[in-house]
Amino acid sequence: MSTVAGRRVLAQLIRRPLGLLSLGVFAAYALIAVGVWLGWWGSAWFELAGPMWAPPSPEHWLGTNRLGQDILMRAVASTATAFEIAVPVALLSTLIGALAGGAAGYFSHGWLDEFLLWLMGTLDAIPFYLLVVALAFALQGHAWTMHLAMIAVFWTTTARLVRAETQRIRELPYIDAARVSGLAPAQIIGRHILPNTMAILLVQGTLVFIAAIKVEVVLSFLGIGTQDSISWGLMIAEGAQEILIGQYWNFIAASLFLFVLVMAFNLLADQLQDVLDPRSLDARAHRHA
Amino acid sequence: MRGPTAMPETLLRVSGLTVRLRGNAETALVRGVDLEMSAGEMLGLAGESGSGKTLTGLSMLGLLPPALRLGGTSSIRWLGRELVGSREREWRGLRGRDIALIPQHPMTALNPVSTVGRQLAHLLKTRRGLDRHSARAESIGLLRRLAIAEPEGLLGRYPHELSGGTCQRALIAMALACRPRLIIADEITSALDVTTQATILEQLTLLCRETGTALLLITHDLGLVARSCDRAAVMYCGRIVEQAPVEDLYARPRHPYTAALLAAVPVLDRDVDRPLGTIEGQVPDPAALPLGCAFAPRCAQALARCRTDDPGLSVEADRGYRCFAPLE
Repeated sequence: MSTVAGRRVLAQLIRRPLGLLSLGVFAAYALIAVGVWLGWWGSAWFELAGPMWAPPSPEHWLGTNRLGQDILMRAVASTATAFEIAVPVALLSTLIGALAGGAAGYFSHGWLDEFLLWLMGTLDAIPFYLLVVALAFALQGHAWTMHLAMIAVFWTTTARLVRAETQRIRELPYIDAARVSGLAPAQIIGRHILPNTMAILLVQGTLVFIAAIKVEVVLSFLGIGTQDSISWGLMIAEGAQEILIGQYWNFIAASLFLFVLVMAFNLLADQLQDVLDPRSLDARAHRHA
Repeated sequence: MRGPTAMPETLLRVSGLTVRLRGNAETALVRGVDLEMSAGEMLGLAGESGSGKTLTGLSMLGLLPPALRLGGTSSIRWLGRELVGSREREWRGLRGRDIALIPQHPMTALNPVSTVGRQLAHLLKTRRGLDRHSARAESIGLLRRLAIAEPEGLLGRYPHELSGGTCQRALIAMALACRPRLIIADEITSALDVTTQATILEQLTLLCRETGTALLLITHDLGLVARSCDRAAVMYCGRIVEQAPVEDLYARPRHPYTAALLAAVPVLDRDVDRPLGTIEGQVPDPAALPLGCAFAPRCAQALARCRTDDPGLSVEADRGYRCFAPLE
């Protein structure tokens, strides 16, 4: 998308209270994650910082776990884990979905389209968690197993949406004009079609971002997700056992971090959809201004 | 100017061009069009909606809609090279670079999410291999030649911020960008108001004459053809019924259809009480063309044989027509 249009979308998001709130929350989480990567905080999540099962106190704001590790620090470090998974998954599955959807839609009912539709149908037909377990087994615990499984599944929805939109855009006069001036299909798709599907890509990207975080939590909870690191899913898995003995801080901390981020992102996707929808009141007012 | 020693080179020779519906051998929308264009020539192709003039233009670019196909006799030769049956890649090399088309609807023929400058530059980069700086300079030069006062400002604008006339000028600049030898202008002024129509067409023909670019002006308006072309071809029901130098065609139409069309052109200094000419009846359905001459049912001069036999081409000096009962 052009920078001008991008700035316009951002300006409209900020003008909406919920848009501003969700963007703010997202920025705060992003800052936490960046801080962890840069080593400002959270890097000592595995250290035994205090006594076991310490209640919340000025030293340990959310208490400690059964090994005496600081729960807040673990939750903070998990934020970085969540971003490490969600960012590449959202970017790559949106990119693959856009390219595949654009190609399928532009050559719709040709062999490429038939093949891509078959591929999407096949991938969508495999139960998701089964696919991840199979991939994890095939890749022998490779660090990117989870990413790969999520991308393999998440790109199809984006591709289907982009395909439908491409079929619509393909019939517009400016695409004819581009063909008349001798541009090749790849140039037309990349230059004239995909930029016009940016609304879909932004909203889809946001939704995939949340889905990736949620799936990571579920997979880690099941023991086939994050390894050799910390994540909200692992904390919730631990916490689920500990609730039985009356220790609920692990569970609450991870759930709360997860809940707030997912809520904010859902709000953001919702607000984005409103801002980008040309039929929405805001966009119309802006165009006439 | 056109002496026997300086015969201009023939750019395009279309012969027997037939366009049919796919899966329907009976119905032809273009029926054996013969057309020749030499370098720098301005040819007006006039006719009613549905007469096949746009399809004739699209055939020259290999861009017929998927539901249509060329008939077996069709031949389109560009500088002597047969184009019918070319691969898509060869067509693509030709489009824009040898033959450019200015589209019909200026407001929708530009990508809405990209600026005019970016769209022009993209074309110049991919089709002429210019770098960013020379592409920008070239864009400004092109727009300036189209009498745009502030080309630099226009480059940063989005299509929805522009008037129809400005959009059309940008599209003309894009057509000229690759220095084609032939420009097909398909009803380019129909969507514009009358004063803009006149200036845009004037600028286009002027630029074409300056650069020696041939122009195929597709229009339903014989007035436009008179103002800007050397030669005119009149189409009816997928066939060229008369072709002649503009002055001859207007002064002395031979085909009754041409005469009827000319009578329907409003003229400012004519007596207002005299009604404009109209042509009785309707254009026949291409799936059920009458036997003989397609215009016969609407023709005042029609003879008995007009309704049974197809009139062949009568050639007369530098003009030709298809009629058994030509006007004097």
